[in-house]
Amino acid sequence: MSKQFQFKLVLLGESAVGKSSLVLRFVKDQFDDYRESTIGAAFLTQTVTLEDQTTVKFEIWDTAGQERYKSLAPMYYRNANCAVVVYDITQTTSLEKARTWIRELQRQADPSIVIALCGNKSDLSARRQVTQEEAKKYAEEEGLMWGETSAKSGEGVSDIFTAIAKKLPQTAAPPKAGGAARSGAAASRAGVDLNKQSNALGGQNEPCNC
Amino acid sequence: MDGPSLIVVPPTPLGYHHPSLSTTASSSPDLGRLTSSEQERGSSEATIFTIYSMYGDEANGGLSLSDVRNSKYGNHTYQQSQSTNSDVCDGASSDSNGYISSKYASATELPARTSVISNGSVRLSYLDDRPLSTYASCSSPHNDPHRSSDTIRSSKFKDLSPPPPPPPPPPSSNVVRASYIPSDAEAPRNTFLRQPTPTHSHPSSRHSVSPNGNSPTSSFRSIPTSPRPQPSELLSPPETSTLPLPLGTSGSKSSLVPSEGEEVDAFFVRNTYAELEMTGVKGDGYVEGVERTRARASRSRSSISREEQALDDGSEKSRELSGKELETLQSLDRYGFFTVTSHDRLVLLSSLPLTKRLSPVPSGPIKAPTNATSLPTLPPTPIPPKEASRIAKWNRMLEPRVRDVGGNIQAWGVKASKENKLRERTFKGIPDRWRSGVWDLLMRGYSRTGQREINKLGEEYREAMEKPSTYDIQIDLDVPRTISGHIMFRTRYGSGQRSLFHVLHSFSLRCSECGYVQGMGPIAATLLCYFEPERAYACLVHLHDAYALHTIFSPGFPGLLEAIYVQERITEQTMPNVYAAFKSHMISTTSYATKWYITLFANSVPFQTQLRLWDIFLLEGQDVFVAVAVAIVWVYRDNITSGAANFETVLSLLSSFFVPQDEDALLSWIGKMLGDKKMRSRMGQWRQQWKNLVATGMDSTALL
Repeated sequence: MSKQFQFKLVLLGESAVGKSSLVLRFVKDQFDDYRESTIGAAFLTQTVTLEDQTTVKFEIWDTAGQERYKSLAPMYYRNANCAVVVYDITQTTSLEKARTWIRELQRQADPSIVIALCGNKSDLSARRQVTQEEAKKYAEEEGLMWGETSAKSGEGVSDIFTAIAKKLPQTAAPPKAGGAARSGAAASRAGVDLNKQSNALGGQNEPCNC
Repeated sequence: MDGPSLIVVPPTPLGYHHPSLSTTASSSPDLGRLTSSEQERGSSEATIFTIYSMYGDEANGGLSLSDVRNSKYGNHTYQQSQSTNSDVCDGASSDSNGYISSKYASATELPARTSVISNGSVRLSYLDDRPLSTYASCSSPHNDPHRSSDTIRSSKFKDLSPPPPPPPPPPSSNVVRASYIPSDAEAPRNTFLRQPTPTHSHPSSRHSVSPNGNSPTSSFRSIPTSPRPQPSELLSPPETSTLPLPLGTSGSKSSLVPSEGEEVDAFFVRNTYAELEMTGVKGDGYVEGVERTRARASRSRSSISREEQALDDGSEKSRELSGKELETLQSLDRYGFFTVTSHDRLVLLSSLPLTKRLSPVPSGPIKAPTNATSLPTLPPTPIPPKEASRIAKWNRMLEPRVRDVGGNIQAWGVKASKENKLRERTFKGIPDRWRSGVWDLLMRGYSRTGQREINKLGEEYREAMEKPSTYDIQIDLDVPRTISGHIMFRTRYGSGQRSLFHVLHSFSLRCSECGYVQGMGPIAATLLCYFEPERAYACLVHLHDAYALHTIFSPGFPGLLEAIYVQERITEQTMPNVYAAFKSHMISTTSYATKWYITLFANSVPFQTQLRLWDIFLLEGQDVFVAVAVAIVWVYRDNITSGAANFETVLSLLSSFFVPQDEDALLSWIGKMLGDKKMRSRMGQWRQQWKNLVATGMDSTALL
């Protein structure tokens, strides 16, 4: 019987780095040159099947990048099992913003959260401002996963999600801790509880019996 | 300046008013039932009608209803391009959209050159399609420069005529429209038409008018104030002369001066838009255009050369449209959208649940499906079947209220005897040709704004263009991805995008608390489809001040949370099982409803539905969107309470793009809910309750 997991994933990053485009590529294998800016957050799901037939289902929260929406972000990352922090390789400032997000996650999010740093728009490498070395070095220092992607060409997109899917079952919190911490309804008004207790998959590490 | 060959030339006598009008009109079977106020509308129509009669027989009674019908649809291609202009782009025309205006101009000329009845009638129905801003483009002298090259352009439309695709069933409205044309034409604007074309119109002048967009006086008035010395000679392309420029721009390419403390990048953005206002870009409306601002830090020689090549070199107005461009025009819907495949989850908002009005209901069947009917593509938006008769009713209901010194109508009002009809008719949908006029009317009424304040806001808009905004970079990031499926906003740095940038830029400076928030973009863009940039800015101010968008946009989104609180109370009371399901699945309302309230449903329902919702929002205010939210939950209540429903199914469903099976059913349901006085007073109480909760710090646990 193959194992099944379900994880909450949140995308964070500066505005217009390509968070929604990454998700669109990952979920539907499509690309829009000009994707409408995300307001609040968008919810999508996608399942990855690993080589050993383990399936990992991602509940994806794609968040708005503008600073004003930052106040809503905690409710999306609070119980996330993994976060993809995206920057745009053609904008140095976007890596700065990514660092800020990573610091915030390290302070505020579940300690067992898996964080992937993702340099998007690799198709625009002619305009590159952020070198691979720089980003990689930072990721190593912080113990993050790292990769470059192009939502436009599709390059690297499934790789990064697959890598997360492989890593998660080993690192995700045991059923009673972290990920499933919030019990009871509506712990706060911001409470998009990403852990649905009612769902049979609440125990993150337990293979589902279905 | 090239002589505007078409509109100004016609043998419209100076004294051309009713006499010739009625001659023309007499060919219309409907003339008899016109009231004088209906005739107030649009001298330009009369004028153009007369032009047709010069060139052919189409205007002289030879225009039978069937002619109109056949021609309109027998000439499908052309009709499409027409719809680009008419149905869609009230805003485009009023928006100083060089491209649209020029198309328009050439369209105007078509019958003249071809003497094809069909085109004439198409033209006519087009004109009549648009009560207000039509005039902006067909009569505005600012557009005249475009017409200098129309002789060349018109040939494109000849190409368009031959292939008649299968005629869609002609909506009856066309028939009626055509017959209304003469009726509408009185002639207050003839004076306007006869104004000599200014050698250069100050760009902002195009914006300094009401949605009618046709105030000659205000346009001309601002010319002298232009600090620029007639730069049109320097910038030969005719288009440039019509492009709105920020005040203080010089005729030279570099048009702005960085302000103290303004970031270099931000200035680069602001300056780029200002420069492009002067020059325009190639293929506006057709091509994607060349990115300039995002790549600012890494511009190479080749990218700069690409940028230069994308500038309009003045050939835009005279070149032939390519087959691809024609195809593009054909594919537009009546609001100006391309047929694009949507990547959203499209679900049907079924009408059946809407036949029952809002009242406490028991739980639905436990075996109900968890998902709604999904749609593969966005269905086409047909012209509402009763559009024509509604147009006639609105014609009779409205009268001019404010005119400028040139006699042009700047604002409409509802006749006292018809005031009791306004609500009902607004709920039935404002006919699109009346939308800009009626939206203006509703906003003036709701915000109690007078003409003087609106003029002042216009000044404010122009002045703000001179100032830096810390939001410029963010706005620039969002502009190209705001309803980019619309022809006005498609081309990077095209006139629509420039207007959008400027409106958002100016608005970001208006309220220091709100600044610019993502979500304002689609709102401003929708307004730009119906108003000139300057007026669109004023509309945003109305929405912010009077329609409580201030609380929606300010930090922490207090108005959003308040609306959600009210929505939850209504859900709890009328659909307790749904409320319980949300609770047990731990679905907070913010997770799906945030974008509904922040974009005023701009990206969650088809454009036409959005317009209908805005019709009633502008009439009734912020309770409308709570009602829409409740309606959506109401429709899907059985899916939500299904035994098989879970966090994912419910959230996926409510995050979808909703395509109403029947807009009228939706609107009527909302109308009944909002018409319930008890409900409205409870909504008011809940809003107050929420404010109290916030004041006492109890709000953090009050929402799902």
